[in-house]
Amino acid sequence: MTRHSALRKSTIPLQANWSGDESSRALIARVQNGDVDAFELIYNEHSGRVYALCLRLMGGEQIAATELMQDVFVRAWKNLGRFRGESAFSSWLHRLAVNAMLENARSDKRRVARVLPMEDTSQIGAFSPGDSPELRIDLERAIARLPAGARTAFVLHDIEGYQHQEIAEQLGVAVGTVKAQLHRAHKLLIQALDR
Amino acid sequence: MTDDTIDEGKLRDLMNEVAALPTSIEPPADAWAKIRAEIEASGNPDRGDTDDIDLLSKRRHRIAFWQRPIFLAAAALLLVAGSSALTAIAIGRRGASTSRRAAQAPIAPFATDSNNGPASLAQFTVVESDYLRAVNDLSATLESERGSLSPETIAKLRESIQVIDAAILEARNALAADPANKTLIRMLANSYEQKVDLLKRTTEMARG
Repeated sequence: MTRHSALRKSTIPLQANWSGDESSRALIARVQNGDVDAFELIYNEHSGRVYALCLRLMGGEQIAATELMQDVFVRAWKNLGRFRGESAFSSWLHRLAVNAMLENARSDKRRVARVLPMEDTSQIGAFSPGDSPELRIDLERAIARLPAGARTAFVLHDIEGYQHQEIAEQLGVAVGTVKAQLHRAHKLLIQALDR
Repeated sequence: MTDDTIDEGKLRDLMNEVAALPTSIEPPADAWAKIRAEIEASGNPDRGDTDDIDLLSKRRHRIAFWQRPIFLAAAALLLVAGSSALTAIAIGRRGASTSRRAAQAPIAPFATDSNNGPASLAQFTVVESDYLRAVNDLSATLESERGSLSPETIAKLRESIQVIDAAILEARNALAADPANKTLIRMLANSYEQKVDLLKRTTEMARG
């Protein structure tokens, strides 16, 4: 399976406890006092995971994913003064990314069609693995080609570990809709990867 | 594979592949430069009372509030927890004595359960003034009695009131867009009733 050209495995645990890490706490304290260099260290530590999330949510579109990631870190900078360390920093950052994606999508009709239509099932079933049934499609590409609603549900649930209820709340849809989209995503991905 | 079912083995294989996906992907090298330029132009991070959880809550509230009963459920739970904590604090400090006299507070204009409530926003607007009057009277009474409440009790009360006020505001905003929605009207009435009830019980505690 081919992978993105520049991959790096994260060294940050998904649920790293920010408040329990003295060096991280010192770093965030510096950021809260306006230290941009300290924020760059945070960026270097977390940007890979945030970019991976953004890239998948945006259907593999690198420019859109980069813009989203930049927006996330600008928001993080603005809001770090309010971060109390009561939740894992990486979780906080990821929620910020999902929220930014949803907010941007709602204010940018160009993105809405790409990201949000959880209730719209018209595209479901329209997925085509390619011109040739023999074409090998790797998982990343298959995820990117999922209909928007199915992709969002899949990325948030199966890759990011959100609960159905949580996704439904964030997207403003019923839990059943999320489950249905997830089921469709599984079906389409299995079809796409069934070589 | 049929239309509605998924082969469990294939799903397991898919999940195995998902688990092997990279958790991190290198962003473009020049991405940081734009972020740095923006944050240097924006000044220092905001400092406020809102923590990370509140931030998420506020974001969630902006998304189809009335379609998310979980918010109300959470608010109700917090209210119950807050009220219970108030009661526990009061009981703990006062030796579990019962209230010697009830607060002279107005009774909520009508019960609003899932089957009983104002039929329209216009009808509710009439009784809303009664709720507001009750809230004002109770708040004034409570203010005069606050010396007999512990700081923890006051903090819990404020926290609960903030939750209810947020629910009232959200319901009000949602009703502005959908004034005929009876569920929203009922939610708004319930929130007011909760607020009156909380203030009344706290007043009773303050009076011992």
